[in-house]
Amino acid sequence: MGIVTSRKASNNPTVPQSAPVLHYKESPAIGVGVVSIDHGLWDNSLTALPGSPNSQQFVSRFEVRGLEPVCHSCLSLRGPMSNINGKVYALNAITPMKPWKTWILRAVFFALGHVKPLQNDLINLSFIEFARWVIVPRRGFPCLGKGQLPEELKYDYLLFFSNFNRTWNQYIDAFSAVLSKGLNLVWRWSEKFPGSVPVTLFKEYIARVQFDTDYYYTAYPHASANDLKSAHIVQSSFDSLSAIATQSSPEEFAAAYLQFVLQVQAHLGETGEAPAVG
Amino acid sequence: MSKLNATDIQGFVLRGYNLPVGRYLFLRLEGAKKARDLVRLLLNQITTGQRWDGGKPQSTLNIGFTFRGLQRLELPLASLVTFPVEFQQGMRQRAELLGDTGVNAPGNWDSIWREENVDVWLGINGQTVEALNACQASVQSVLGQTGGASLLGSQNAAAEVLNGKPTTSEHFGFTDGFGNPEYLGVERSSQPGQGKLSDDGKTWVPLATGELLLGYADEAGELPVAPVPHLLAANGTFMVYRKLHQNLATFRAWLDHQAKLYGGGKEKLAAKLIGRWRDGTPVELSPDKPDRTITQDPNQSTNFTYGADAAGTRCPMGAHIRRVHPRDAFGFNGRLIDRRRITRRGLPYGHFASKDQQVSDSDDRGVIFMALNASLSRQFEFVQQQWVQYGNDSHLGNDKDVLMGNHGGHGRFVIQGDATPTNPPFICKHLPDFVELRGGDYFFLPSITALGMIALGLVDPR
Amino acid sequence: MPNKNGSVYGLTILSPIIDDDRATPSHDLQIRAYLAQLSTREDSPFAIAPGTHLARLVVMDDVIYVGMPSCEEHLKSKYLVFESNCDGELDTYLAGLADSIPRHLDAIWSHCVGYPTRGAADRDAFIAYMKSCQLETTFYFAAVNDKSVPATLRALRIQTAAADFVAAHQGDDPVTLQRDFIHFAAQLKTLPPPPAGSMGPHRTIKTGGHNE
Repeated sequence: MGIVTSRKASNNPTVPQSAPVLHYKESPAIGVGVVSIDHGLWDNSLTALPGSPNSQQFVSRFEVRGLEPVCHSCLSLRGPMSNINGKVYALNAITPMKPWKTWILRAVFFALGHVKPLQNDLINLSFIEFARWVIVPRRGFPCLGKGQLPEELKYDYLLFFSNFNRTWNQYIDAFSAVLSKGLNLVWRWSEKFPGSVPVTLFKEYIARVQFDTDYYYTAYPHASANDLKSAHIVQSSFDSLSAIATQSSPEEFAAAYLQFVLQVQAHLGETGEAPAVG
Repeated sequence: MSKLNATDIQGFVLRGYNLPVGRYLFLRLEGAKKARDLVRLLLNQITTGQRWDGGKPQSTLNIGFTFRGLQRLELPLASLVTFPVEFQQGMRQRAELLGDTGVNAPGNWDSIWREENVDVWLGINGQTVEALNACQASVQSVLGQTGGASLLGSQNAAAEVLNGKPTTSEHFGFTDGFGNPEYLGVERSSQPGQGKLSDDGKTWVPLATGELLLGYADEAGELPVAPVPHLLAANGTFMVYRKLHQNLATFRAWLDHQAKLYGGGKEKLAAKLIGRWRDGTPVELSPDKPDRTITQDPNQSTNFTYGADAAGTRCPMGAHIRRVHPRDAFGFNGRLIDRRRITRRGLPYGHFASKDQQVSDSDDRGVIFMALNASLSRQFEFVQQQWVQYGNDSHLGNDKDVLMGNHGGHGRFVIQGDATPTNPPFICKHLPDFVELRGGDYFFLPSITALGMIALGLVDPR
Repeated sequence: MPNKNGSVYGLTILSPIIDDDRATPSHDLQIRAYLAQLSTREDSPFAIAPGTHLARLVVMDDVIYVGMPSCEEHLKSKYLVFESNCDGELDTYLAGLADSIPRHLDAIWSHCVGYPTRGAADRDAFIAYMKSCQLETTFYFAAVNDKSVPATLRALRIQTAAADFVAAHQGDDPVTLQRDFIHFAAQLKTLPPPPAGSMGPHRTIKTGGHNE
């Protein structure tokens, strides 16, 4: 059960389009994963299976909860780190939906957009800088003629692009822990979605439907969403203080300055590099 | 859930022994067959989690293995590859991820850890040093008998003794030992504030057993991924061992210097760094002075939340205990942090100096930090990486934990305050390294059944 | 309004990539190779062109087969995804790209079907082309949705500078404090705008980040 198909398999001319590059087998007993890889591009945790029929087959422990998924192309020069720039991670996911379900999803998004309290939890999980969902109807893929073959698809597709702080594991753990109902509301219309709780199956699904970013730019790599919010608070208080600085007496200024410090004291964290990911 | 079988779980995992002295032996295994004999002979000395109806024993013995150790015991490859990646790599290879850089980098560790030879940790806890010696002698005779391992080194540890009684103080003068989590099914005297917050945001309930022990449901509502076979992992856990040297001279000098500039005085400043006064009173409950009535009352000493103090004016947002156990500080009734708890079992080491005694940073003193968790990467490593060496979750940007962070003379600690002169906003700058890492590793502490399987070479992945 | 959240615009563009067996390497690989050597910091094209908060470029090879009982299906073309979170109106943003970084745009999008023959030099054709590949962003979330890129960079600079100031002037008497603050504020005003895409002023603190 649970075949994971690498997106990039199709780039390798010796591998037929639909052949999986990653096989993920789930042990029914306690949810242990064993990954066998048909092409020897991996990191240092490979061990050759003695007596395995195919000398290129390796067995490695792929604990979805411990590792970031490394579904990258043999040919991508940047490697898995291209999903990260400074403190922000670019996640791309595509899931198929039966076209009649797309209408329900549109209604869900409409509600989310117009009923503000539903967005509160998302706002309070303050580690998403920008996120978007894009429904691509099966006839919605741009077709510009000039010899391009129009797509013939059965499913509509839901694209998800997120720009978030912290690690992939942390991000999904947090959503599964506190926003599972909201996640289910959006993704239950996608084929084979296992639910956002419990988290291991959910992470497997995301790893399967995620594809890597080739180029990721941010104007402020050293700042997380929290840093941004803090920066705006400090700037606003600073501007107010500056405005009266020249016109007050020293005592008046000192009092205003104390108020300024009290306003910004919870917002003075340094910005800079994100912690190293393994 | 079914009752835990305390006789199958190592006692060190299930409870803090509260024995005043300890000694940790580090072994290198010599050959799989002899090593297995060693395990088999040590097995009936290993202390289990069974209750001591006849009073505490003179000493206890527990055992853990690094991944290297499991490899040397020649566990089947198919079982070895199912251990988590971070455990396979060992703590030294995780250094960059853990922020063990600069003065904490492996190049500066004690040689026993720098050289990555440690296969086995044997933890001896005892009532007296004589009891430790006796236990060690017994262990060494088994070593001699089997030739299964050589002793690479040992580490002594001991609680501070005041007026003939052991305390739970550490070298900087703070009372430690609060805040170990409470898990379902693990019998111990329970205190509000040690488990997780329930949905009403006020009452505390135990955490899922699977956050500590493998083979049980965890807080995510599933049986977590664990090594294979089930019998090898169940009732076992992972331990991180870190020898943390404390620069007491630097700490005292720095505190004295900063206190001159801080309107609340030296003791309050010290309390703001940690989140507890030196006697253990939580700053959140008593921001102006220590209060023994709170500390002595188990219903109060760990029973508090930060919801009413979002601005950090009582307990600073970056205070140590607030960073490593945020409770409800991130909202959602604490649900975001329920899977980030660890159980600590450490002891201080080195000579305790009184307040007036001259000390030097090069004196050998510190704390042996040992933490138990079902998942090293999700629990200990996460807290270390995201909450100690970084501050984004607490809205503190890149600021590190004032006590444990590797500051290198830089960085800041902000004490949020208010308009009262004794609780002013205050920024501590040019933070030195108060604590330095001198080595350690990750260990797997198997159940008694698993130890038996290892000893007999019966681990069968399927 | 679709695509917008406050003053930020969520631009999603899916450009079909030319499928030509005779091209070696294929067009999608050429795009990938170009992107792999492109800087993501201050000299990124998106730092040079105005108005981009965050943007990504992804070569999407195919849809993903999630397993039975779902049907397996495949795209006939590959697509270049351009996801941008930017300031202002769409036309202004696209015109800004065409005017500031035409060579980068050409290098990337010339491998896509229907790209204007004169490239970004023909600004109107470029804008029309991009719009023809635009998808509507169904739901767009932004943590901060009312600050432009320059305003954000300025705020970040002020935050760093103000924190340093507060730390350095603790315990000052009111006269010194006021004088120093006025000087500090005036100095800040004279600084050139902070560069986009930068990791901020160099600091000696090591967080163990993998770039160090």
